[in-house]
Amino acid sequence: MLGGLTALLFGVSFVGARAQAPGHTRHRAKPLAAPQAFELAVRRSALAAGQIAPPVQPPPVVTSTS
Amino acid sequence: MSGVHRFRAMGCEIVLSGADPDEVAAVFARWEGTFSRFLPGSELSRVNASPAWAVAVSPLFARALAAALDAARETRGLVDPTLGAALEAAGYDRDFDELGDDPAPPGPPVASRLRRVRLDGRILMRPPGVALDLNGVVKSLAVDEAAGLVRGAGFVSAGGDLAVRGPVDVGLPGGGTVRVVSGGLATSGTASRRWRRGGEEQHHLLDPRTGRPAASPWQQVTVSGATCLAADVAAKAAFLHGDEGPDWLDARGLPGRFVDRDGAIAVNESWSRALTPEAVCT
Repeated sequence: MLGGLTALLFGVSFVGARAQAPGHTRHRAKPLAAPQAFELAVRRSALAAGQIAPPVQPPPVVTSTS
Repeated sequence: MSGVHRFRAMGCEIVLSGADPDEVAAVFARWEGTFSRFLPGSELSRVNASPAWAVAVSPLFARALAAALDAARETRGLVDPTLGAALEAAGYDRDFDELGDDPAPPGPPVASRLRRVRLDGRILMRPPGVALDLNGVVKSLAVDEAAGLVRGAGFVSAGGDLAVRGPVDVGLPGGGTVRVVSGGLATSGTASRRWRRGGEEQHHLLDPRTGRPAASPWQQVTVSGATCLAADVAAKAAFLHGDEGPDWLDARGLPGRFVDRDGAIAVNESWSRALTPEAVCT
């Protein structure tokens, strides 16, 4: 009786571990890749702001259309 | 700031500090030699003249075209690299210094071909006859590359579009000064590159929706960006957005300053916030 229960408990745990636990996956591992949304967000950051502040001295350069 | 050097390239004045002027000049010479629309031997001229549907381009060309296509995506096609023929139709068919008024009318508008352009690595695919004009990104890319040569503090400016390494105070269109702490600052508009065809004023900022020089309430738009490229693309897009330009920049957190046709100056919320003393980080 006790042996049967132990065997049953072992079997359930073994199957559960193979199906659920990390490191016991039954599927082939896929290479890691950034989600598409993340890549899109990084691409959009190309239009990120710079940093400006009030001036403190006469400018050595002027911005204008050229 | 001491050690400021000046020379001419890309049809404008280059001003720099903190870098070897010869090294910076070499950067601009390389970009200009590759992307000039007016040098028959430039890679851009050869690509535009090629009858092939697929063309292998250099790494530098691929990098600039990828940046231009990114800019087009981020501005929903407003900053468009396929308007070379439209620019020629408007009369900008030679070096700007040689451009004069002409009583002949401009040519018919030329539509955008943006959707027909694909870049796969270094292979460019587009129908023959599409005239690329990458000058919307080339000057600012050259500035960003040259700014990488700055040792310590300094800056590189091409016709007023600049990238800094360390804080630099910069004069603004219409008067005033701002301190650029990091990144770049660029101004786009119609204040200098204008000419007449058939009595009509023309300029180089084309509206891809019409294939004609854009009608905008702004004369000059100045934007702060994380790079000179980001600032330049955003300034062009804000100019082309017209009245919506300030809000378009605010939606992206980009500080923008606008000079209208009467010379009146307006700034968006991001610009005001950035220049509020308590907002300044030291």
